[in-house]
Amino acid sequence: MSKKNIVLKSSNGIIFEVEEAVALQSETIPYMIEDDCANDTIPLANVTGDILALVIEYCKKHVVVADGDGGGSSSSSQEDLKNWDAQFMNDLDQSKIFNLLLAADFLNIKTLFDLTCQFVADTMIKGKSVEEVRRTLNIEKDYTSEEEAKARQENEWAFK
Amino acid sequence: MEEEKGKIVVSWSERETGFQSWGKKRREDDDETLFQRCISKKRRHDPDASRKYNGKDIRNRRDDDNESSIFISNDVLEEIALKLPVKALLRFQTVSKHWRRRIESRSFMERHMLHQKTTHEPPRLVCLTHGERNLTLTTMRWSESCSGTCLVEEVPAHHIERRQPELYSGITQSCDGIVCIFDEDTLTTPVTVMNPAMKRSKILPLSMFQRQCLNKTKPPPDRLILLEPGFGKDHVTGTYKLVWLHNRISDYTLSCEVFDFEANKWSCVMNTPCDLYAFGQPIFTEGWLYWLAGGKQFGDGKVLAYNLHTEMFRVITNRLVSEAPFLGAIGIFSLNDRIWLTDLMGDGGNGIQHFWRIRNALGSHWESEKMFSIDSRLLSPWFVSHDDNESSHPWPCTLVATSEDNNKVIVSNSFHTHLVQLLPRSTSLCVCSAFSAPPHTKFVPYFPSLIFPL
Repeated sequence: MSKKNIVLKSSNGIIFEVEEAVALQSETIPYMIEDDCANDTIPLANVTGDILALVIEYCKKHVVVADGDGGGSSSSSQEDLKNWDAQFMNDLDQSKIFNLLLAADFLNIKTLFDLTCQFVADTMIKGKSVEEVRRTLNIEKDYTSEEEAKARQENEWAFK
Repeated sequence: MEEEKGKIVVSWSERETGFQSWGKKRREDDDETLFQRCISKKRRHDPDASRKYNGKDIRNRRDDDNESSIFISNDVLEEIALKLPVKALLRFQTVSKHWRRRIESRSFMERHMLHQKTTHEPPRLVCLTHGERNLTLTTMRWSESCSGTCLVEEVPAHHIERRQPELYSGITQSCDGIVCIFDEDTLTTPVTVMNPAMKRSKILPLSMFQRQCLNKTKPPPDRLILLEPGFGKDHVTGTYKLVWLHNRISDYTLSCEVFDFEANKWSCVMNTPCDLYAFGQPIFTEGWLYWLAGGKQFGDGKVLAYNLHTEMFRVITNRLVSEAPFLGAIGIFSLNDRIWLTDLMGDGGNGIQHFWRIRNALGSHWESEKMFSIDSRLLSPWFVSHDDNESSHPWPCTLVATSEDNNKVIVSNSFHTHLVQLLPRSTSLCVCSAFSAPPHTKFVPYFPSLIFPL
């Protein structure tokens, strides 16, 4: 059976042609194919070209080879994938990470979404001060200073 | 076997509670742990230290202007928050009232717990140690790298005062990241409920039996044999309960008291089974507590089960338990929501300990499948009996963690304060590494949660 390709178009008009197995890691794309079957190109109005390129790079790396030979992924390749994921995320700046997070959410790619969430949790929240977290994530402070001091006091040890 | 003492893996806040490791070599990984701990201390005083230390952070922290243009919905932000450890969440909830409400909601707590629970790796433990004046609870993570294994302290230790320093305390199995602490040999000390990851604890009111024992004018009910209380959750309503059985040896009957954390009070359970005595520590899984139980006749071992929702008892049979020469040769424990039995006297007591997992926990006759066996003689450097009394027999080890394929396991023994990691299925090297702890330390498998009853 010949491999079917799917054409994706980013919000800024950049065209990507990928194998079906790569694209179908997104749970959103199958619905778009059904809805839009006459047209071969699937427009992704929420994802820019540079982010879509990252998503495709991730999906290509994570595509499960369903061929008969050997089958399944060995634990060493699992380890390799983990290292690859870490490197992949490390190379991105904050704005790319947030855009990738939103794209993974929109395209419903669970493993990429979890990976990005975990990365944001680990690097932008975990070791940071409350002020830094508010700034990074655009969270509005609705506590008065007294209320905040009181809330903080309840778990003082966690701030040390 | 080479003993290399003196390598402190984790520095405890109380001097007398120093963990030491035995190992083949010096482990770089330990140094890294200590290094990280030093850094994290430094971070308190110097906010820049973390950036300097963690190169990743520098690259990812581009505090550019363009970040404000990105809007992350609260639902996505909640998915991110679910991935945070408890300590970071306690800090994160002070960013805004909205997030505080959200994090304190039952649904968030449950989802967060599920995430923590399903990530079995690395195994985590709560350790209870006895200091001179305090009891110390520490949460630890089993950390492994190619250069070795070590126990890493996760949250700063939590201390509670020892009210009767001459007595030793016990710890229940953990349910949803919560444990209960009780005194082993007396009924007069109140039970403390605790979430070690949140460093939060509370003292429970005294039970009726406890009050009768304190009230010297009235003798305690018939001769009681003290058992450890069991902690668990009603799987229908989600209410946490502490169940305390007492053996009345005069007539082989049991009395039972239950503390309901929702109602915040103790009550008596009436319909306790007859002609039975319960033995050892109860275990909890999926809404039920289980005890090993003996009957009037020798070799009449059974399992006693208590449903935390219906508050009814039932008796379960199992071949291993009924064939055991005495109940002490059998161990029962639960790990990752599965019930396990272990027997030391099988095959004529040749020192091989078998580990069985129960297939049908809800059945009235338990079928067990053998998962692996270990040669307990290999464990003798750690679990050797100090008692020269001839009548003393070895006690079975308990599993505190296993890898998913059971190829790697960590065992403890209730009378020895060591942890040993084994590869039960390998033929050559069986013992990987071992850790020793101060006397009377107890280890309980656990995962951190944001839940605190009461």
